[in-house]
Amino acid sequence: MLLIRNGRVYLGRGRYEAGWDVLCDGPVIREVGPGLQAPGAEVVDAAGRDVYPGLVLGLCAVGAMAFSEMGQWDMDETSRALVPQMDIQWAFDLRELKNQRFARAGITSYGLSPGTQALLAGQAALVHTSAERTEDAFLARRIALKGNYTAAVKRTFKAKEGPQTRMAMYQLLDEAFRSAQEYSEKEKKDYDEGKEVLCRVLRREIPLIMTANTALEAESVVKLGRRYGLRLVIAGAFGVEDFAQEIMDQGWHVMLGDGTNMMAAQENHTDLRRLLELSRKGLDLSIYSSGDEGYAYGYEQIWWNAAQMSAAGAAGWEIMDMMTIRPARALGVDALAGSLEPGKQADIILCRGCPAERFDNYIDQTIVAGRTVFKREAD
Amino acid sequence: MLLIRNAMLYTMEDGAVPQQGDILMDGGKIRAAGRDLPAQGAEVLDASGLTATPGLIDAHSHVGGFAMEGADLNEITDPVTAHLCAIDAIDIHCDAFKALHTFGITAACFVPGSANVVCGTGFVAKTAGDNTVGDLAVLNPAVMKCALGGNPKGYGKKGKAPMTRMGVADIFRDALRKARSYLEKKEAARDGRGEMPSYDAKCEALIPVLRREIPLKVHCEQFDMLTTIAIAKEFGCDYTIEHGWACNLYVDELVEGGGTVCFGPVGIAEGYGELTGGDVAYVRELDQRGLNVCLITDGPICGPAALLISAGEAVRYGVPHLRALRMVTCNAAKALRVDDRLGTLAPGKDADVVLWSAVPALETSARVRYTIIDGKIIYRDT
Repeated sequence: MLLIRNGRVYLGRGRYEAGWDVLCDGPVIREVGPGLQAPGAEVVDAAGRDVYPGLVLGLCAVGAMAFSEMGQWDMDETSRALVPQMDIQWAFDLRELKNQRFARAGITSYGLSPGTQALLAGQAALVHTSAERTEDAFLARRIALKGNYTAAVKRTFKAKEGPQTRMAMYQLLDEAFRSAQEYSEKEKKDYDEGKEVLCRVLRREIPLIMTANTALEAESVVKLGRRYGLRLVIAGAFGVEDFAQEIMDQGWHVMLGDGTNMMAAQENHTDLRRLLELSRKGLDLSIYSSGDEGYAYGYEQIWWNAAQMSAAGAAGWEIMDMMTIRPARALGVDALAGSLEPGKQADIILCRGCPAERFDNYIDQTIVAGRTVFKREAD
Repeated sequence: MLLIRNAMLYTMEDGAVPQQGDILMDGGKIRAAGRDLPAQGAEVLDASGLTATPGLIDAHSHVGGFAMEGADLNEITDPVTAHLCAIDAIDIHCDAFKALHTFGITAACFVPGSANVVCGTGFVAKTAGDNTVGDLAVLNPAVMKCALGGNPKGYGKKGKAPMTRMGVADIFRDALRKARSYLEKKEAARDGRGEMPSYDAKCEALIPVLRREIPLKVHCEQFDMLTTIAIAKEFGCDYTIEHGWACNLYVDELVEGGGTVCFGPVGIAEGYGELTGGDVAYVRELDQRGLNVCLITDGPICGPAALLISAGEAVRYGVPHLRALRMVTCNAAKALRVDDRLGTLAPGKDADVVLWSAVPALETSARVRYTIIDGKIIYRDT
């Protein structure tokens, strides 16, 4: 048992409770509240510290990239444009994960996801950022289908069988879901793993996470989501603020792309202030950081985007929600992560104030599954 | 004349502490910075509640030269293109360039890409204010951009040299050796000893390097920085280390060598080939050990917001705030040898000032309220 005592505990939606405790039992949170008792528990004194849930990075391929084989990425199966049956778990390399600085950045779990090249790229998983064994790293498998509706797809398949145009991209997706629907209605059928995955998406068991980098691309994704009644997460989503009403009405999620990567935000004229306004009116918005095109080369950029959101006027707690509970909900894993509640994973960061507000509100300690995996050295 | 009234001044002068004050500017220059300056008929800008810093300087940028329709900064036909000039490839009229000043970047060193061993000259320019790239230039040439490591090895894929780091070093040293011999012949001819060599544009471009008038600005990954230090020493040149991924492994050598380290982009996943070691926390030790350290965006690899944010991230991982702010202002000016004009808010320097809504690189909410270049308000946040 681990008792985090006397911190300023963040409960989401702007609610802080001073002098509260968080009691962890093994990898999960047992209780959150004032004056908790746990004889024999290891105690972490959180006096003067803010206690937040660890960050949930919406999408990231680090851990499945096969860095040692430059140019032979393991997260992008581009032999065909539609490979929904691909499962990222088979590409996960614990050693690649162990080399990273996730814990220092307060990131405790992430949507380990197929890459950015295929139209339907495969299934994502939720992994912890720290684990001793591969098995322990996985919190949930096959949590979402990842696809890409971007220029990268055109570039990748131009010299192959296509798609070469956005027209063909849309048609291929439409046909994939139509035929999956047909498949689901058949009584006798030859097992097709890809179609099985699409059926889960059609039944809304798992979300479809589609990267779309421009307003035009996002429009097409919205059209697809509407046509098949999908649970949609639009990733990247630069310029989506122009037609967010339907996204809000449908309860779909916008997982904002990395506005600091290349000139993405400039070229697509992303207006963070308008997005923030929409978020306050109910748009389900989160920040993620992996590259929207090409490779996903980093993850600390989530904080860079947090800073941009802050500069656009967001309060610290709003940003923390966009990096914790909201991405967890988007990935459909909010029963596991994203907030400090009994039964959820004990993924916790201790900070000197809200780290989304000041760069020197240091993250002092990061706890993953009840284990301290990072402690900041004293100055 | 423009008087900025009552800002929190971060002058970035050595030893200066932030304090409330005014900045008086006239004729494109700062005339005074301090408390209760007389207006003297100047236009007054009330900056109460705002923070003033020198304009940010990005010591390593390609913005305006890598537009969508093609990369104009990599002439991949010859691994030695010392005679090519970035100033002939930077489009100051494109959206990406025009975005720079809205993020507080008032000057940058625009350099050729890294496809060649000797890539060509880079120049320092303001990011807004006039009509042509020539008008914006502060110093040209300012640097000789070179590249070691994986990028110039691209020739190897075509069966040409260089295909290894050995080949890269060979071509680098050969270019400098030729230029040295060319220079010696020229000097001898001028003294009446021997004939003037026939004009060689590449050697001509390298003469300012050999005379230490401009530094080598060398794209280095991993131990490439040791190669740079050794070659610069061999030919008596000045150098700056660019990118410097994994610089934490070579701190002693870097300190001994003395050249500036322009580190970044930062925040790269560990293990990502020769880009491994892009941890912003490394600048802390370099700075403590007395090296001149800059943070860079390598734009458009990172967007313009990343310059200030990199300094903020340095703070997040333990660099004192003022030290981090230096890495995107006065340290960059010093590295680019334009510190007589840029980098601090001191009388006589160019009136390049940014007014922020909060303390930049400390408070994340800080955004540009005004960008002033050469004493003119170029941008205001509405």
